[in-house]
Amino acid sequence: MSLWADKYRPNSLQKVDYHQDQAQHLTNLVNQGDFPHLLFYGPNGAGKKTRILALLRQLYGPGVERLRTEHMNFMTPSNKKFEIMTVASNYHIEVNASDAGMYDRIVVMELIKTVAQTHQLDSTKQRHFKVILLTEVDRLTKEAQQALRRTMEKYMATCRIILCANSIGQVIPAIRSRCLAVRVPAPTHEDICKILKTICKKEGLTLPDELALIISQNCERNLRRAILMLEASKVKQYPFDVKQSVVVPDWQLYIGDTAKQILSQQTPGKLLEVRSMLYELIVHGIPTNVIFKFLLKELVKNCDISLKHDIVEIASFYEHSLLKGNKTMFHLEAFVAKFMLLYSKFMEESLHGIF
Amino acid sequence: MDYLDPEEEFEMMHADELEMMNEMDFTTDAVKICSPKDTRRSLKFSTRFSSNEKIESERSFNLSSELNGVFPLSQTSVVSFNLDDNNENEAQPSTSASIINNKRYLDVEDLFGNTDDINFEDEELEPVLKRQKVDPLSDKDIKQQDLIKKIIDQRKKFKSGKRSNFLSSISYNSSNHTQPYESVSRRVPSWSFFPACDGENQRVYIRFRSADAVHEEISSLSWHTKSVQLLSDPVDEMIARAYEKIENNEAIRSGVNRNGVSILDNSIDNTAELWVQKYKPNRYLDLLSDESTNRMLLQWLKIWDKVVFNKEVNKKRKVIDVYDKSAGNKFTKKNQTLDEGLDENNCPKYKLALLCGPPGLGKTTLAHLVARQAGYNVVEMNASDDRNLTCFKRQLEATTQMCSVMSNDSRPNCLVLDEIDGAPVASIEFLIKFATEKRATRKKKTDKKEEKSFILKRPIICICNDVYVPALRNLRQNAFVLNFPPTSSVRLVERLMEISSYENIKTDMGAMTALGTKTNNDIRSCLSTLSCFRNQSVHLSHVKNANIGAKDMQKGLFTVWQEIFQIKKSCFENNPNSTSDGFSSQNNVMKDRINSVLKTVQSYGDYEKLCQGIFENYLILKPKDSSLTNIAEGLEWFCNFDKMMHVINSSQNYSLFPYLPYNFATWHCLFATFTWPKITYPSAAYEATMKKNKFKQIMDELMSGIIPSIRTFLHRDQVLLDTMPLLMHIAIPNLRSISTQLFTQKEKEDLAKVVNIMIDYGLNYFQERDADGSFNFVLNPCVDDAVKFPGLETFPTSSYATKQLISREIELEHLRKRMSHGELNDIIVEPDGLDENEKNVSTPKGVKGSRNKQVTPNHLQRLTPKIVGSTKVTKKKDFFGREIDSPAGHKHKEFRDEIVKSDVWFHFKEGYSNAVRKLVLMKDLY
Repeated sequence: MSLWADKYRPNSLQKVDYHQDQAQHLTNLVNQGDFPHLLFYGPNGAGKKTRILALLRQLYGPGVERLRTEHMNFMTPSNKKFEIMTVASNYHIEVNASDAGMYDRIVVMELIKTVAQTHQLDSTKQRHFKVILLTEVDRLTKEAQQALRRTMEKYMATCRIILCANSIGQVIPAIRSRCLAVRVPAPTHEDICKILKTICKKEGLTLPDELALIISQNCERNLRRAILMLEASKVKQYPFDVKQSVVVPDWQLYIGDTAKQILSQQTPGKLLEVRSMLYELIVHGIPTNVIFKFLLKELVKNCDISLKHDIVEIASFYEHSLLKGNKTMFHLEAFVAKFMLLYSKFMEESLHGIF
Repeated sequence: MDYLDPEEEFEMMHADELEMMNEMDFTTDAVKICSPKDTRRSLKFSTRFSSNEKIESERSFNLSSELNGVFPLSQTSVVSFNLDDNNENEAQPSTSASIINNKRYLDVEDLFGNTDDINFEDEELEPVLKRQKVDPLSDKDIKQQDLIKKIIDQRKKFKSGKRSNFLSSISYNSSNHTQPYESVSRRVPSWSFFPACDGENQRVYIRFRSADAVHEEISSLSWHTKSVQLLSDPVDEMIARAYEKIENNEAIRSGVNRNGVSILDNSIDNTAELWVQKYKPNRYLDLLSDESTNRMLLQWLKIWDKVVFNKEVNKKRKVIDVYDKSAGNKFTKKNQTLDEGLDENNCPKYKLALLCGPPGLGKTTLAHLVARQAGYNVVEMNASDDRNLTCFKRQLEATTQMCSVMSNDSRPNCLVLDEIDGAPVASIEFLIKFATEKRATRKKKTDKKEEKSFILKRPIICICNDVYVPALRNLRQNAFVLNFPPTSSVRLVERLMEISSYENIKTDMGAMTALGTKTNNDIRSCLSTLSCFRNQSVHLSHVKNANIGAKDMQKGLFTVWQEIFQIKKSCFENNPNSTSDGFSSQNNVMKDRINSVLKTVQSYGDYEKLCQGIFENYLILKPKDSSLTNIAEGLEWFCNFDKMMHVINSSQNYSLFPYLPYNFATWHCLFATFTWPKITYPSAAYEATMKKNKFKQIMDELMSGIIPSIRTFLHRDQVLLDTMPLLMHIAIPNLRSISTQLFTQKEKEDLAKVVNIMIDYGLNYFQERDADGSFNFVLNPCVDDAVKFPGLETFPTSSYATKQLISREIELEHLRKRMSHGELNDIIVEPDGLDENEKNVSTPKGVKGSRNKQVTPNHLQRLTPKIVGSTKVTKKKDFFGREIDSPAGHKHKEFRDEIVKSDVWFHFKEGYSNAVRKLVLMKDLY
């Protein structure tokens, strides 16, 4: 636990640095000894998992923190075997069913049933239910979510399910209605600055306000990234300098480069180069929505205000079409080509205007 | 002579029947004459001439005769006679009855042998007959007397004259029995009759016939006719019908003038064989396939002449050689040289010839014809034969062994293995062994004649459609491979014209050329298509519009791509006025192009692969215009294609499939140029997937290595996007390349921190040997690869020594963690400077349990064995002795690990150099 991001993670609801009201609500909820199914949602790095773990600790005591990884084997109806890794304590089990891809329904059904059907040995001392923590629920297929809705009600007596998702847009309404939804918003810039400064203080470092602000602006309001960036910056140069460049993840830089390439020239040859760069990003497993988001951000930066609207529109169009399709490259390239077309047209027109 | 009562008649009749039936059951002789035809005819007559008889009886006759209706061969002449009779009956129905009667009468007389008395009775009965008249022939009864006389005369003539064996045999056979014959009856028959008495004074009824009929009959009687006529209808009737048909035909096709002879030919042709068979080439010169190929095969067969026919072929070979040089084919040259090299056995090197090419080029025809031409007897095995190993073996051996026996007197065998690409692999393997192995063993056993007979001395020609079938891989190497080029369309068209002129099909060159292109120069399908136009005139439009004959030809992948990317010039050639005509014809050209692309793509089928190929090639190829409009539009269609494909695959809804080819048509319109496209195989997507999987695997490995208490907060994406890229910056300790003992406190802390981070995330450095032999430390799992992008070298990499140090510390830390379960918090580190003997003695260390993590560098302080004073001093001392040397250090580490892992540990109290002395053997330590 020597990475700051891990080291300074609050482990109880009382210690959280922001959304204290919400933490208070959660404490009240748990203090009654029971709680309904919960659905935590919010962006990455907002602290969903931190709150969930803190909640569990509130409920079961520090025993929840003794975690172990377990591999569970499943078999599909077509006799294909696959393995899912789970993290579990004595009181809860955490599963990311979307790891199983198209077989997530089997995971949801099998695992939840087996866990939920076993009662706690000693219900006098312990809670009478276990907690199943399902992460990335928004990535579950519709079938898996349908399978979930019945199990949720059926095994209410022996288990509580905590769902964790980035957005509830992809969660079917039936599940949403069965859960108490808890939205964990991303921390504000001020929150982030404050936390960064606290960490520095604890580490015995001095952090200038300006740098904290720069980091908070560069981290997409993702607290984990902010802390990691702070630490990386510290390794790179300490004592801190106000004008110091913040360490940014490589993929982000690479997307920036790609955007530069797109803007430099709008020809089929360039498109081919851009394609190879996009392939590189896809190969490294950067999610396509992230690629779209950052690419758009970089492109729009350099565009005339009149173009911005169109570009955002085509970006959203192609991102949507990507979701409906399968081959990411087609859609990404289609977006780039469309952008090139619009951009070159605009540039020509503006050049005509000059002369 | 009395007339019988109807009741009596009936009784008599039935008794008779029963009797006859009984007789027939065990005497087939009696029925011999009574063919089914006869009885059938009698049935006819009964309906025709009689109104008041019992049909029932006739039926029973039928039945009885059919029951035993076997025709002994000896009586074929009778049959023919009867049938002739029948024909005449049909032709002249008015006289038929009498003719039959006459004949029967004759028969009866023959049957009854001595019939002098009957004749008398006949005369006596005459008035009775007159009185009895019930049938329509009554007006002829005056003639009947004459007739009878004539009959008698005739009979006498026959009696005196030479009789056929048949008749005598009949009379002999049936003399003892009552003849079940319609001409004579014991009951009152249905036909006009003539009552008489037989020898035993029994009443018989004899059939009447008209005089004319008898006349004709007698004149036409020819006992020597042996020809068997099996026509169901009389010839003249058939001729009449034929004429009628001809007239009809002429009426239908009045426009076409043709001569009667050919018409007659045609009408007969309707029953003839298939055109493919009919116009099969019968001579070598008639072959339609490529001339050089033909010659090559023939030549290969001729090489066998030496061994098969024991005939020198040198002269011929030289001639062929000249040809070959002009043809420039390497295969034949190979053969030639090999032929001379293998004089001992006189066999050519390649004992097998492999003809390959698409169907309908005439491979089988060629093989058969050439083999026959070369003087062989062709034995064919094809897919219809059983070709499992045992059957194949038997057949193969039988053929070749039969060769050796029969080669003296008859034509030798030449085995043609047709459609070999479908044969089981084992059989093909055996064939190869059969052809090649024998040659190897031959060298030992040349002298033995028995052994020699086993050598394959007969040519084997294999025929296949696809040479690249895996089963044929070995055969390809061991056989003389002849690839069939497509038939030249000029020759094909010539031949088609020839055939159509034979068949009276009016046509022209253009139509035939179109037919040829439509069927891809497949002779067989050309002919079968042509046969649909039998008796018609064929024009270009017919061929083009007919929806038959076109083959769904699956073209190669590259051909399809090429077709999409290239505008065919022929499109414009076909419509030469397209440029001048302007818009409408331009539209037609476009339509043609789109149609052809659609057809090609549809027949290929694998749309996804095609699409990938287009996607990866369209940017490389020279675009029509440099603007991005086309590209952007094309890409939109790519997205469209992908979406459709996704829907099809995810919902299994294949009803969308027919719409996919239209994407290709669009791409063709957008990207096609006149220049020849240089297409590369699409591999980028595949490579990307492979790489992606590799990185995914790394991430999986990483995820499973992260300790649970941290892992619970992380997802794969978060690790990939946030943690790892930044971790690469963080987990680089800023260390000087000096001994760890010399590290400042800050450096020590840095190192400890890095080590802890790496342990938390399950990372480590492993030594690996590079390709050039040098050692290197590689991060495992190699996350740095996964987060590194080409062209971006943002995060620094540690030096070899640092990595080594970190690796060592991680190992130690792991050990410490493992030990922390027990009481022992201490680690004994063996300094490298120690002798073997001193190894038993280690410095104790007991205090540092609390600050275990931070303390790591402090271990190294205890490296000095004996000196008890200030550790710092000893460190320095120790350090001065050695520069940091990586291989040495590495060895050092391994050494230490061994000690650390061993079960025996020694504690020394600090400050004592000799607190415990104990004898420990080396073997105890390990």
